[in-house]
Amino acid sequence: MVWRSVELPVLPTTVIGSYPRPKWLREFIAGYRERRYKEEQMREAFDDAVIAVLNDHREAGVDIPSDGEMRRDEMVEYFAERIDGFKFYGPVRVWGNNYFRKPAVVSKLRYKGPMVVDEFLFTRRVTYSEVVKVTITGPYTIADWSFNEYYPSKEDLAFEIARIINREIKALEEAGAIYVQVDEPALTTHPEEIEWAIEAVNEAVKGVNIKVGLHVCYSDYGILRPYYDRLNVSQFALEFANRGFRDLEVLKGLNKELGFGVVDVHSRRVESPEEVAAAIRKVMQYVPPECLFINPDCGLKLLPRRIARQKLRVMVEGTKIVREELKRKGLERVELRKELTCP
Amino acid sequence: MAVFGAALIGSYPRSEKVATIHRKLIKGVIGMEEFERLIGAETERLIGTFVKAGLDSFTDGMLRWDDIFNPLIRFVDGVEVNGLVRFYDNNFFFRAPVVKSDPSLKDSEPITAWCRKGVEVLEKLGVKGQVTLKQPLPGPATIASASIAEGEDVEDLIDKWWSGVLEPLTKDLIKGGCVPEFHEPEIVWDLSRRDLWVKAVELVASVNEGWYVTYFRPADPVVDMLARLGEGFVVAVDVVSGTDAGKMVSAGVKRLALGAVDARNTKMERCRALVSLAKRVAEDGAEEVFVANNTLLDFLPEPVARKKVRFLGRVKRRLVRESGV
Ligand SMILES: [Zn+2]
Repeated sequence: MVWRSVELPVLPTTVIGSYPRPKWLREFIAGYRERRYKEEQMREAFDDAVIAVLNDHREAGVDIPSDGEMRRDEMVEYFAERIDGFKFYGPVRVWGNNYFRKPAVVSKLRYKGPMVVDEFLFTRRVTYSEVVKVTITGPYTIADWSFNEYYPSKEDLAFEIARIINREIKALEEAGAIYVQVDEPALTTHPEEIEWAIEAVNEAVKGVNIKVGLHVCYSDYGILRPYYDRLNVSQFALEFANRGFRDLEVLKGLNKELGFGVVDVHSRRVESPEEVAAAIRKVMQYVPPECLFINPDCGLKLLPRRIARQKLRVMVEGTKIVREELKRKGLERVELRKELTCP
Repeated sequence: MAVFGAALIGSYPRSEKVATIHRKLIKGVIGMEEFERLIGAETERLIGTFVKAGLDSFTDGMLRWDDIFNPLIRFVDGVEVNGLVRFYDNNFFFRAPVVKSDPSLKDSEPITAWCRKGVEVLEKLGVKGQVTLKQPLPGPATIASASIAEGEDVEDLIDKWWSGVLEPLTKDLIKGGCVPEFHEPEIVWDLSRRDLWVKAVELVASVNEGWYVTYFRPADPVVDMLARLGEGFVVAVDVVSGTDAGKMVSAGVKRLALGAVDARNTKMERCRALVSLAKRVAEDGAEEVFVANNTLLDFLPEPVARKKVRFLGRVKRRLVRESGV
């Protein structure tokens, strides 16, 4: 596929990826696990859920929606289940009584074929928008959240995963995707590994000719800062509402597009459009408006759907306030860019 | 000749069944009393498996605990329980204590009673006196560093946590027949505050008895402090993270637990390698040598933890056989 240019309103609004699964879907999944439904029925339920999510995104006025990751239970599990060489021994606790099925790498990892291409194709078929975002968990996070029984080092493991992710992103590109976001929440958690972690991300996006964003959340962005230039992605999608829009200083020297997190996904309090607008005005002191996307801090999946919907609406309304101000300065439209620098 | 043993330090992962018991409590399906009855039964069963595996020194698996701070900090006056904080570099989170005023242990704390219940299980199994039951507690340096306390420095917090909570609890535990197991990853994690840790180690040393556990990083840089704990303490170090066990012995640590079974990787260790390491440490002059897990087994899926526990017993049996002790 070739890159095509798409026009968007200035300050394009988007999501990070995940969205609450509708209650009926959660119940259906439980029933499917008890073998009460056939695989085909499960797939149909997922499809219906994606349509419902896109409808929520459309009603809120989000410019670039996602499928809400309806088919994915968890961001590492989903990929580990679809790559040869992983094994699941059982859940491990993450906090309290909350668990994660942490995979173990027990043999050489092999790409079995597309993992999320079908997700993308369905989303594109039913979406209201010209562009959709496809998320994919990054190589460092998959390596960090797995047990390594096979590779000599975590670095070797991460680079092997990076080559697999690279094939997947290229398969998405082949299928017509133009916007992929690599999710790396673990990227800064071991500062002593950041040098090669950055290169693993670069390996994953090597030779890719579409727009690639990188999402890093709940992290010390100071650790990331020296590597802005070295990361071969066009956008950083970062979380700022959670930190009360402090730490914006870390954006000094950013020469890429910023996906600016304006609503807190860990709080049920719904922000006001004015708060969102004020935050956008504040960030514009560091990043020019033509290099800004607006999004929630992180995936919305842990919120009740009603609140998630309201948060998206507020995000769009707040953005529109600032758009009006920019219009007076003659800035109304931007182009979807894949360039590694901005402006 | 040294005495060899197998030991479990810290927590054991919740089985499916234990997770269900917790879920029922959280959802309000069962009350505290029923929870205690069910968890008590599971703990008893678990202790049985430790004994059967051949462990000489172990905890009760901490099935009632969320992490090394909780629920302890819920039984402390002057402290509130905050949101989730990452536990060092793990994808594991704990609820941090917020220190509002000087922490002081509540009389209603149930931890001593849990320890007594564990000791009763040992009696029932007929192994009391042959094995050691330990109660893990956060060390003063680790809990002080994990505390959120406005305007308090870590040095004062170390003192306050020790005198108000850890010291009285430790004394009660010892009276109840349990051995305190202090978890102090902080002293090897943040070497820039070494001077403060010297004091924290001295406080712990004052109880003259227990296990002192460090993990996640090599203990070599703090070996001088560990040597000062005295003969009443078994010092457990993280060999997987690169601690030079020989260095511990030459610095004067006589009772050493080798954290050589990796609780952060599902890969199984080689029996031969552990046996040689333990023998070497004994030859270096250690009087008591335990093979152990390096850190909380909670980082592993339960089926793998079970295998690693049995493996520890196997290593010990081979050591005993080969050394003729
Ligand atoms: Zn995130």
